[in-house]
Amino acid sequence: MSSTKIFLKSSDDKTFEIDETAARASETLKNIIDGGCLDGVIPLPNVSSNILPKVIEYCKKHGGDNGSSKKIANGGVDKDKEILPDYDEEEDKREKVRVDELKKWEEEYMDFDQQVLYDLMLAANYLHIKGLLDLTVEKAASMIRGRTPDQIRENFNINSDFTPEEEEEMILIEDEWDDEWAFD
Amino acid sequence: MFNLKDFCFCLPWVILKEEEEEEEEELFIPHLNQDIISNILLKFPIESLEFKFRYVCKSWNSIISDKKFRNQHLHYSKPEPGLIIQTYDEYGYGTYFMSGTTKVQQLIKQNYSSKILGCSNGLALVEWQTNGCRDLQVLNPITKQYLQLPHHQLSGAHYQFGFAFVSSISKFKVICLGKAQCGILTLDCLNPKWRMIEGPAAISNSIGQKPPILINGYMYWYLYYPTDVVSSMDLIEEKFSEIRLPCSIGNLVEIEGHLSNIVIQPNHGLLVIWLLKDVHGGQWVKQHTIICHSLEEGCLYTETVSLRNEEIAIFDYCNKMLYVFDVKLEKLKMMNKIKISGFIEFCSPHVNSYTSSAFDQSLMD
Repeated sequence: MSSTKIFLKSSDDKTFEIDETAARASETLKNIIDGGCLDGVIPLPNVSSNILPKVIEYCKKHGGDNGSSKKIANGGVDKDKEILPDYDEEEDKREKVRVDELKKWEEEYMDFDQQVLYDLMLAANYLHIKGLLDLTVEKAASMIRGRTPDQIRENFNINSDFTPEEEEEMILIEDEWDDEWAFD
Repeated sequence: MFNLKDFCFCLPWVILKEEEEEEEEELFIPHLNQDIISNILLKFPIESLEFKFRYVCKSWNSIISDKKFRNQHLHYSKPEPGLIIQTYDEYGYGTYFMSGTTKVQQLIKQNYSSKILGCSNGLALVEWQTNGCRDLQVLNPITKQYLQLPHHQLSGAHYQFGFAFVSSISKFKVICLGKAQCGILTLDCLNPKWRMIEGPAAISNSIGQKPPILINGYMYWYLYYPTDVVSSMDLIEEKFSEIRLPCSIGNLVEIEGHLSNIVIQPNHGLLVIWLLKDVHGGQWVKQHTIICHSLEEGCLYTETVSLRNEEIAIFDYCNKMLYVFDVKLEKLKMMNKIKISGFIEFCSPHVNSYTSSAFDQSLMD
């Protein structure tokens, strides 16, 4: 059962191919497909050719999730059903294996530098791919967790645009909060 | 404070592309759009936002101050419950938040004027004293947003306040219990007005000094006399009744949704926990008797308060120790020594949250 192919054009005019089922992982693409604009190529002026394959990779992995891959998994279990009395347990095991495998995949998938991370975040936001947005946002959050405003500004090249008076006020509040009280 | 228009994300793409080669590693957050920053910031607890990230730059500050963001945060975040603790010494009131049993942080700068009277659902009822005047405020201790309340008209000098979020009607109520009189202020409009109802007549003149305990729509008031009775108030019907305690000394706390009377008998090294399983029947059950020799030396001045679902915190003022009793495991753990100056004036379960934004932004700003 081969699915319809869809063509996506990156901001730098390169064309990529993706299965319709995979493309449906993106809310934006799904709306375009359902809107009946399937004839030509879908232009994505906000996504460049070095990010788009990464996005497609994610969609391939997740676009099938709610559709074909589950059907296959269920089909497999169905055959074994008569032999295996504890159907639920088997299903649980399969689910666990599937989740573990997905986690491992995500770990490998997310191994990239900051530049890719924010491009991917922007693409996920633009294409409304909730899972990918969550994944990238979580990674970005982990990079600022436990840091002081100074460290955040330094690491991410943000200029503090507060006036000196405002800064002074801030330092006072920061000190108060960092001053942990009470236990030896 | 800061203007919503001050965003630094509006930098044109062209400029950023030019810088990309030189500063590839450094460029990250500045040219992400507001939606994404907002998404990232939603992953953090309110303390990190209000005490740290707000001070990164103006654009982060305006995202965090935004009403929509605050409502989203209120909706999605799962704040960790803790305790709000107020102490008093020669430098005034110190207001702290204890999350877990190891981390205590200052919430409000130490001052002489903000005395906490009650806490509920992320907000605090505060008596603000300036130049001999006493004003009542409802304050979010984290965001410092507050609502000024009108003065009550109760006669006499002796009264006690209670503050409660009544979840079944989704409204906050401020209660002022005086001499056989009770004032009620329901926070449901811009200009709330005090209503007077009849107080618990039998116990006039004898309201205790400790703030009342709030459990499941009921407020339990300590009495001076008789010492083995508490006055319970149905916060919806606004009616009082009396509950006889199994023991005339001890503290009241909530355990698993029930009123509990905790009695420490230092001479015997015992901690006895009574539970009122049926509010209407008034039947007390002696739920736990724990031998605790660690509590034996002069712990006459203690404060107990529900910490989390199945734990209660016991502050021993004399030895300045904190104990945690695990109700499920029936285990008393001795925590570390508390470095507090002064006395604990107020202590209550608390959750830091953006409650005030849902409550009503226009009321609080």
